[in-house]
Amino acid sequence: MNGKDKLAGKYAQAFVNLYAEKITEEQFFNIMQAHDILSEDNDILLLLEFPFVKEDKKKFIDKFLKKFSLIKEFSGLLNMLIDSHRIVLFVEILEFILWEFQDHTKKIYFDIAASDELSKSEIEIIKRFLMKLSNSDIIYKYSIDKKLIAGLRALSSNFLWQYSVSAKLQKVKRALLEGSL
Amino acid sequence: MKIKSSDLVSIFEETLKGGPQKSLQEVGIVLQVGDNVCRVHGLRDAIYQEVVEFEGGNKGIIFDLDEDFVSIFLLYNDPPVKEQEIAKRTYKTFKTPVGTELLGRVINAVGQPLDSLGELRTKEVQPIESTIPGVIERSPIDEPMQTGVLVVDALVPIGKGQRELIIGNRNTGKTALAIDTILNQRNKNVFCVYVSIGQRQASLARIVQQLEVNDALKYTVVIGADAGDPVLNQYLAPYVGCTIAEYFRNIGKDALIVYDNLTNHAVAYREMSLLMRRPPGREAFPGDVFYLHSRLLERAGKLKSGGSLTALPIAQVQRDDITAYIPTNLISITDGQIFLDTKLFNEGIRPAVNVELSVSRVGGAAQTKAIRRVTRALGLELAQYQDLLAFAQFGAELDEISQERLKRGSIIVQLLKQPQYQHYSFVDEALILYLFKKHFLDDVSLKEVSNFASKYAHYVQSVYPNIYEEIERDKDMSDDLREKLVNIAKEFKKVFS
Repeated sequence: MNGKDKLAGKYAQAFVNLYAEKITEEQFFNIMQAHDILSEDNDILLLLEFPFVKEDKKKFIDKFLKKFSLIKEFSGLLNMLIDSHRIVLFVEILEFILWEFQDHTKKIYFDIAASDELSKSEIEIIKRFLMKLSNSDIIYKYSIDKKLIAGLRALSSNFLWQYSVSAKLQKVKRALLEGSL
Repeated sequence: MKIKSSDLVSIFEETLKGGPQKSLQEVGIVLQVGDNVCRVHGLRDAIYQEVVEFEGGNKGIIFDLDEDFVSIFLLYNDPPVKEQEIAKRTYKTFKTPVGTELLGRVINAVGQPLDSLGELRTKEVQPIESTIPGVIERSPIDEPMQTGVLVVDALVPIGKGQRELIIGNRNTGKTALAIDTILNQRNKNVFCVYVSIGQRQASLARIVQQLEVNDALKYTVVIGADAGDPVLNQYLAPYVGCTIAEYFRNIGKDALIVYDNLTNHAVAYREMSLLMRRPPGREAFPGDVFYLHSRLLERAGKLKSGGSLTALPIAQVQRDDITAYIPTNLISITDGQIFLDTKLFNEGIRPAVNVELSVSRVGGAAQTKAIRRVTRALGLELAQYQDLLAFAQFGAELDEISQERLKRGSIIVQLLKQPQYQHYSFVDEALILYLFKKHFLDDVSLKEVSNFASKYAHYVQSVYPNIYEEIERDKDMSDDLREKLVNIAKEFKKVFS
């Protein structure tokens, strides 16, 4: 872990310690969405440190929070980072907040992907199955991934469960390359 | 790689047999990749040096367990690892194929063949880091490991189970000496392992060719991690070689391993440590660089159960400076060193062994009695010659005794010169040195000394095979036999002249 990551981790830990109660599951997904978008283009945040955008800074922060439906406490964090010329850490902080939230609430976030559309009851069965395997509460996002060909894949930052044709084919490919299973 | 249709069917069947996972697989997500190292978030319960599989097909080994990340070095350059790729735990440490099936093969550090002899047919794999045999399991070093090189066997003898460092500048014959030692093990029931670390592929190809031409590849395993391989392979190669050699030792055989060279190995580990952001120490090497080599070389030794593992690590120095960090570490770990001198090499004295700076701490006890008898005063005579030589260069007039010593010294220097790939058996060595001891070479011209001595050894072997065999059997020269040898030498001198 480098210095930048450590610093981001500390900010995230402090933020979660202070506002843990306000970070709901819905808020968790909003943070995730903000993180995913900012990861694509982090440079935009650097503009906030320029003196000539001083007037527009507040407008930007308000619009940003509104766009992703983030709690107003993020405005304090953003202002503090801008003032201390550390806005570049914001994306990492969001990522750490997501991990900290999972640690704090003892919930594991799973990205569930299926080759075909699943009904609510099927998703509920999968949720219960994953809860049993991980021995903890879970939060999840469900999506369809045709690349699986047929089957299911549930991925968290620490665990994976998959049973799909694509995984089997990958296994065959590796076995052929290595000469054995 | 050739795939048989039966293989394909069996692989498919095997794959389809497996049902769904019964538990969650521990994984991590790649956050950063570069210079063959990647940082992965997750893998919370991973262990140090565990092998990790990436979803894309690459593999790596965990070298650093941080609070939130693990640092993984990649085993292969291809397929590339991408950011956000999934890394899965394998719950296994790195293992290498071992077995006699590897003899005659050239493989890389990850156990893939580099030769054109097809797939490896080994039945066993062993972890590359193993428990080092303790004091109770070891036995004293009392058997010689003949190198076939007169200067080494006479003055810096190596015993089976010893660790003898070969150290010197570049192009002083370090590899040549090690290869000569391997070649001399033919028909001696010693299995050899040659590990090439961070060298050019052309150099390795030349060495393999030398081994093949001299019929030595059949009892040798070659492990190559050239300069173009990932840094992890260069780090792993000596441990892989040692594990293979240990296998031979554990089945009760004598094994010899050459690490060529550990300076490159230390440089590879320094690169890895700096990439992992570990604090650099002296010469930017990490703090545990001593342990890196001590745990490797401590695996050599002779076991009570029968087998032995002799290690010949090679270290390269710059400008004959043996006080650099890695050379001093290796000197302190090993049981002696053979220092190859650039000056001697350039003067045409080859092997360029600097006798004053070379030492064998345990090999003396392993020398055969026949050799010990004839080498007792040899070191002293050489040292006196070197001293007098420096004195004589001032043009000083010397007394008769000093002149005699100078003459004897120049004879022994000539006698110890030996071309590459020409090896002496210990009987030849004993006969040659006895010839010198008994002053039979004093009136032979310097140019003829080596020729005279080797012809004498051949003469004894062909004309007096009983005497030759007696020395070979008893590994000693009795009083009677020595008397006979004096007479044979007189007889030979007449024939030769």
